[in-house]
Amino acid sequence: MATEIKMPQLGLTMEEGTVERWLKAEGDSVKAGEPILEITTDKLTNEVEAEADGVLLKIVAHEGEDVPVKGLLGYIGQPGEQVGASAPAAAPAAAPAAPAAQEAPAPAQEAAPAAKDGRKIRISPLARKIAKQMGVDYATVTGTGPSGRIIKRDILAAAESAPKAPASAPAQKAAAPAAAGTAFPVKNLELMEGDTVEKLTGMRKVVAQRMYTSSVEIPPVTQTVKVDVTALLAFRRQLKESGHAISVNDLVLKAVSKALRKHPEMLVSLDGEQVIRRAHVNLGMAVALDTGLIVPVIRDADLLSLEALSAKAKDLAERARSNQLGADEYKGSTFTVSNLGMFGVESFTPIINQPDAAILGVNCTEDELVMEADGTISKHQVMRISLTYDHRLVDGAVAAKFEMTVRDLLESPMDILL
Amino acid sequence: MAKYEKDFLLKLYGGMVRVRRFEEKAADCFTKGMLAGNIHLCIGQEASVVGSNAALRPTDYITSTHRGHGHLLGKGADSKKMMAELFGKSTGYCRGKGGSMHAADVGLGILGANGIVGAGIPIATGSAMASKIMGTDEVTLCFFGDGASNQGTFHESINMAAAWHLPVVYLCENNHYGVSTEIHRVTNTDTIAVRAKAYDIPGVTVDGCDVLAVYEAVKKAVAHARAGKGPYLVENIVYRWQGHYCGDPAAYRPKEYLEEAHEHDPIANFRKKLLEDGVATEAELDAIDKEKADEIEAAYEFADSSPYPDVSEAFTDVYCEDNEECVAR
Amino acid sequence: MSTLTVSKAIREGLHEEMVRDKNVVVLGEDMAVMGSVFAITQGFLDEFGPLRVIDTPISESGFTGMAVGMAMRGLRPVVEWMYDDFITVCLDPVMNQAAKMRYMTGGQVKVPIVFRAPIGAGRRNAGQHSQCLEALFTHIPGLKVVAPATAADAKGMLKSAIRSDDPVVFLEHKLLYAKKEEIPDGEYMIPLGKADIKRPGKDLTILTWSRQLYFSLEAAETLASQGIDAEVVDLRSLVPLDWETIKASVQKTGNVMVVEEGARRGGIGAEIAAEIQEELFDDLDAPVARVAAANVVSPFSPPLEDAMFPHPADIVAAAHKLLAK
Repeated sequence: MATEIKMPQLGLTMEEGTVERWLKAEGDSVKAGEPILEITTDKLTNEVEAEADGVLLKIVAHEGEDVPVKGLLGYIGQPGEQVGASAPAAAPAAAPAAPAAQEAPAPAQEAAPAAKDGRKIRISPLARKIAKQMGVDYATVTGTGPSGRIIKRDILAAAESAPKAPASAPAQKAAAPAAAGTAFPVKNLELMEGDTVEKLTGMRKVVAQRMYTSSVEIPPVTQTVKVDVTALLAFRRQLKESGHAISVNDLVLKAVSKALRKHPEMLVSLDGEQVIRRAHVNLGMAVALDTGLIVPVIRDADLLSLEALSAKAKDLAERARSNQLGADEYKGSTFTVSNLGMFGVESFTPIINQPDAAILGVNCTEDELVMEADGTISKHQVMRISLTYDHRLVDGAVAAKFEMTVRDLLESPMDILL
Repeated sequence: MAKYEKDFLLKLYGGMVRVRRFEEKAADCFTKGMLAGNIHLCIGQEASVVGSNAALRPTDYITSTHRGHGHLLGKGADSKKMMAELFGKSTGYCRGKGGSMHAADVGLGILGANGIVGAGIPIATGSAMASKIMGTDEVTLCFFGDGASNQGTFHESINMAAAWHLPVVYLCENNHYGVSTEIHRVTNTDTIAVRAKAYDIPGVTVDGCDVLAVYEAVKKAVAHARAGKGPYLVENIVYRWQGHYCGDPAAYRPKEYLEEAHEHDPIANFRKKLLEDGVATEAELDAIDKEKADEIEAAYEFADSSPYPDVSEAFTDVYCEDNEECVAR
Repeated sequence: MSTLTVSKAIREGLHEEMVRDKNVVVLGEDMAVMGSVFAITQGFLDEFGPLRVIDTPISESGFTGMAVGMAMRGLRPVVEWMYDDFITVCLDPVMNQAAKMRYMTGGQVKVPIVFRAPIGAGRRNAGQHSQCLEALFTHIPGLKVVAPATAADAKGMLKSAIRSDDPVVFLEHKLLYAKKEEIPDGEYMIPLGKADIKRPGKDLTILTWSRQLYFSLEAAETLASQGIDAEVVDLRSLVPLDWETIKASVQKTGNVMVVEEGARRGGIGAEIAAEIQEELFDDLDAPVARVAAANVVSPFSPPLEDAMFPHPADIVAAAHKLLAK
């Protein structure tokens, strides 16, 4: 009896994963516990280990394919063992080009109907059934039934408006409506010599979707304020000399946490007609990776000492880069800080990390000549901070006052600690 | 005594012994935990159940009560099928679906025991109505207890039967107790029979422990009913030796009740009379005793060795037509 | 086709069966000399005589129990309770005797009785003469329960009920007796357990019976003018229930409501809704809706009574809510 290799569930909200790379080929012998393939999910790349000794009999889901949680990836068994046609639950694996094949029961697909932002999707049983039959990804459909429930007409409308890819288009596979999570227009771009096409998958797909949604939904305003960080940098040097390796970013995080406590009007989220006032200062911290971007969250950052905050930020960043974050460590932010200062960026307009209402961009420090009160000219260090906020929830003056508090704290670093 | 055939008298004696042996065996099985639910015994009331049935034709009908084993046996029910029904076996009268309180044999004119006190009274009345409508001459004998005489159905039914002269005999076995309640604590009249006056029908109170007195009274009542003169109320004064149900210690009764009951043992007294009057010898009566004991033992063996009904039986015979659909939803 | 009132259609069905089978007898209060308060048996006494058309005393428990004995002896009694509300004084013979006798005797006996009873509110008869107790009857295994609305159905189903070997509770709405409708000529039967789609539609299934059928049809017309195409299914028979017709309709429309005049709590609507969600969950585009009487006593005062049980506007409103329109 062959053992099925299935897509693991790696986080509460994980619906599907993408086969990144098979580490074994069909026919290779494998040992229980040995990594046999890599998958990428919303945020992570993980190895899937063999559950049994034997040989990799068959690869069902090939590289680049999206497979729902618990969906079949392949089989491990004894050499010569027959699997496939007679095996149960064969391939609900994406194969999005053939929606008809999805009529085969694929219960796993229904196991975790959650929207990408983690909320439960309300959908009528009939609508769900029809969505499956028509290959419509209901996670992206807006419901018009009671309490926003997706009902039959919503699925029909979504199917009606779904882009229809010409049969000959090379990008056909990606254009099929079942490509979960994205609804980017298909433009059938002309390929030029040397171009290659790859599937939008894993983290890239999630980043694309989230940035797109945020930018479409939110009327943003970005305000930039100049901060004199001369004292801050001196303070940092002092700390370093006394053996405390605290970064400018740590100090910014601490100052922002403190400022947010003073300006709770910045800690809000919009849900339909409801404004949620957040009780916790959970600081998202954008971390750049080779493959994309991830935002681990420092929970209750305002309650942490500078040292603890620094340690936490360091730990999260390191584990983010080594792909070791737990699924719950990149969720639940209420405000986010994005720092591009190390790249010499002078100013930018960050995109809000939903469901936060604002994000603070941190830029590089530069030298500037300043005329002192006594008329002398001296060299100061300045740094710009760029606050983008959701104007549906936050107005300019409110945002400005918050930004001034951040600035004041950074300019009088002892206050950060008090 | 002299006016009766010996065979008839021995048949009455044997009938009573048969009922008692059945009830004793049932009690024994119940006490040993072989019977589910509960049973109501008529030990002490054998003269009433046997004497009254003796006044009927085979084509006549009876309705019975929760204390019905004797009524049914008296009307000719098969002791094997009766015992098997008590055991809940597939060979029982109702294939195990009714139990002690719902045994019936419509072929023998037994329209069923009944678990609801007083519910058999209108059914008997309806049976009498059916005879009248169909123009046949069966009489329906309706057994009930003193407790049922205070149900509305008693009054409603006798009133209708009287108004329409229906061929029904209402036979009240007054054993003085409705479960634990002594009849005179809840009833103003000295007898139940006196209530006949309210409906302008004959009513008579009889020593229900004297099988011949019962026979004579019911015979007269049946003849009256069969002649189209309407219903008749017979009240048999009897004693319920056991509590209401098997295992009921009946602590609510004075000890004199049981002493009196034993003095009125319908079987011992009738046996004594048969011997005194030289109708039968000890040996003849002993032979009858043994024959009945053997019959009941065989009934027990049959019941005990019979299979339980198949579980699928639980879902059949709720309806005559469309049973499956009606049971499904 | 001839035109008859519902009460005349019932009378005609009963009459045909009494002529056909001498074992059919009717009994109840005021059935013979008066010909029943709703004139169902007018003239029967003269034609069939007092042994087949029986005026009973006001002893519902007694005469209903008698009917059980009569049926066990081979007759086919048709009992009339003047109002279904009176079941309270004769429930034992119905529930513990007629319904259970066949089962308890291991299939030995048949109890072919038809219990006819007028139901329904709207006649300002107050709390003890206005109830719709279908749910109470359907809860009792062993009983069949039917409630036709139209003259044609009433006649054809009464004939089937009389010929059924099971006890059948046959519920007639008081406010439909005078309704004049066409019925087929000649003898015809309508089987128990077959629903009838009185108005086909594609957007919404309305399951109903008795007088609420007419209210549902009226509501369906209003909905049609608003672009909602409702299918009105007259269940007619509640036990047995025509599940196949319900299923087909629900699978067609995906939206379903049960409209009844009985109290909402523990009603037929609750039962059917539960059955549908268990069996047809994936066909539903919305939760099964119930439109039913309030869980109150039928009031006497007209404006109060009208507020108590469903009217077409209530059905229309429920449809809008159901379809989120």
